[in-house]
Amino acid sequence: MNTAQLSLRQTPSLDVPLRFFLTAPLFAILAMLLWLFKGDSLLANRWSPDVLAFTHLFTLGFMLQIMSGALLQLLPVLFGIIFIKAKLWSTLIHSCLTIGTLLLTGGWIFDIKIFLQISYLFLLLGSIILISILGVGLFKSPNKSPILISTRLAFIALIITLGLGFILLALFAFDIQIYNPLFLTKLHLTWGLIGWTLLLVVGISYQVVPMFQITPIYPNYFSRSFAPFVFGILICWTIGIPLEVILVFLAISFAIITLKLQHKRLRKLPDITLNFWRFGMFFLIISAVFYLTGYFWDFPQRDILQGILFIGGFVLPVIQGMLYKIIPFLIWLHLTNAQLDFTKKIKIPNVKQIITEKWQRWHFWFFLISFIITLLSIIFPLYFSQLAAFLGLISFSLLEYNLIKATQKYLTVRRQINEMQLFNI
Amino acid sequence: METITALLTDQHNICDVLFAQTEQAVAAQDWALATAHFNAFHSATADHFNREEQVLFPAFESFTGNSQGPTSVMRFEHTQMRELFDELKNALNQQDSDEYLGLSENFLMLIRQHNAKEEQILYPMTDRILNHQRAELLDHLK
Repeated sequence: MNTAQLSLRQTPSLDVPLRFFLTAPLFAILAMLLWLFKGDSLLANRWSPDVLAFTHLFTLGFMLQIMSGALLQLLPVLFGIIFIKAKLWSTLIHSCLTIGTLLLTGGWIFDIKIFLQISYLFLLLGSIILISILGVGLFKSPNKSPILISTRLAFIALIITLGLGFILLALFAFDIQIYNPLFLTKLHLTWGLIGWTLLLVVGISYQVVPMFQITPIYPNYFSRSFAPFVFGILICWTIGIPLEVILVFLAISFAIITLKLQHKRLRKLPDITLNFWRFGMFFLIISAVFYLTGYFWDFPQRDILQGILFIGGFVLPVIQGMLYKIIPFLIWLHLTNAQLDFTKKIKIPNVKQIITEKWQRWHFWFFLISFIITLLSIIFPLYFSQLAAFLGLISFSLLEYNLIKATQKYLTVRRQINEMQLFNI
Repeated sequence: METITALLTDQHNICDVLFAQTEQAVAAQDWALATAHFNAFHSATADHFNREEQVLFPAFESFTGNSQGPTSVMRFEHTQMRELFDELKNALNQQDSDEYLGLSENFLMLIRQHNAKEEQILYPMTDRILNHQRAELLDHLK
């Protein structure tokens, strides 16, 4: 019996996840600035370096940052998985990812090869540390809950995605000839979006959907089998057995089950996180159906639209909705814990005072409108591209503003607690 | 055969229902109903905490010989939630729905992650290691 593994109180220090969460929207803002600057020409060619930069500002800069921060926070809290020296490792991972992503995307945008070469080193170092830390934590825990099964498979998919990414980057950075780069690119993005991203979101959903709105839990047959099924199909698809249609139906089933559970929620109060999640599930379905239409309907912007539907319509809203639950709670928890042993206590703002609903709502509506205009911009690039970029810029700036305000509130109250501490002693 | 995990998870679910009903009544500013629901919610949760602290945790601790492990964390979180109950009660008495709903959001996050740890780690472990005295424990936990 090992009770040491259950030293559950060890919530990592607030700056461990927060650094990732605060940096991520800045990359989305950079992506929108790039789009604003390049206008309708940006998304015209699927393979241009600008599109690669735009995509990676989201996938590496926004998504991977937040997912790293969230895992470093959630795994200790939910499963007692303790990351030793979390602060040191998270500082290294965060710095390497941030510098690496800036150099990588800058290298593509400004066509500077040395940037790509240096980015290779930073991203490689950051990835190795991230994978080692998460890998030890995820596979050391004996827990066999569906959440961990899904997260472990997502993690393996992350390794595959990053591995393929480094092979492909060798082509850009060092002119190393590689076998069939188009095929490898398809593998890279499919493992990244379906294997890593979808499986991680699904795994986290098992935990947070029932938690946030008090819904029934996901049916056991579903939560036990979904991730292994998806992972198996991805492997089949990789070696040339075309089963991806099943994937489409699995993704739709996840979205429908989630929407149904949320419909049965006990908590019927207005909730921005719920809005973001419903938005995300709706567009996961649209994105999946759109994929199916590819069998009989082709047009030049098809791949770009598929990416926007999946990332912009599904991944981004789900992630943003989660941030609005996790960050205020973490701030409240750390402030509460900071004055545990005091007799005289400062009143700590509740979660709704840390990020007010009004500002969350503004952000949600700007996100929604900017996304719809983004879809229009694919059909009418000349008229809508810059408007879409501008609205997206406002939307991600609102996210960053809300997160910075929350951090400022934390620092203010924390200072008051420290001052109080002097008098208590 | 009934398990500790199933019984105590059911108790969590009952508390969740009462929690949501209270919130709903507060949001509707129906203070008489809110107070009635709150009292039911408070007493169901307090009873559950007490049974765990008086029956389950001591049994776990005496078997493992460790009172500084997971159970100490659970006790600590109970204390945090009891403090939040006091604040919730104040907000209710002052009929301050904004304050109540803000605090209840805190409460929900705290109790749901607490429950998750119990349901995913502590209860199954207790079922396993205290299998020989399960029937007796179940009697006291009901």
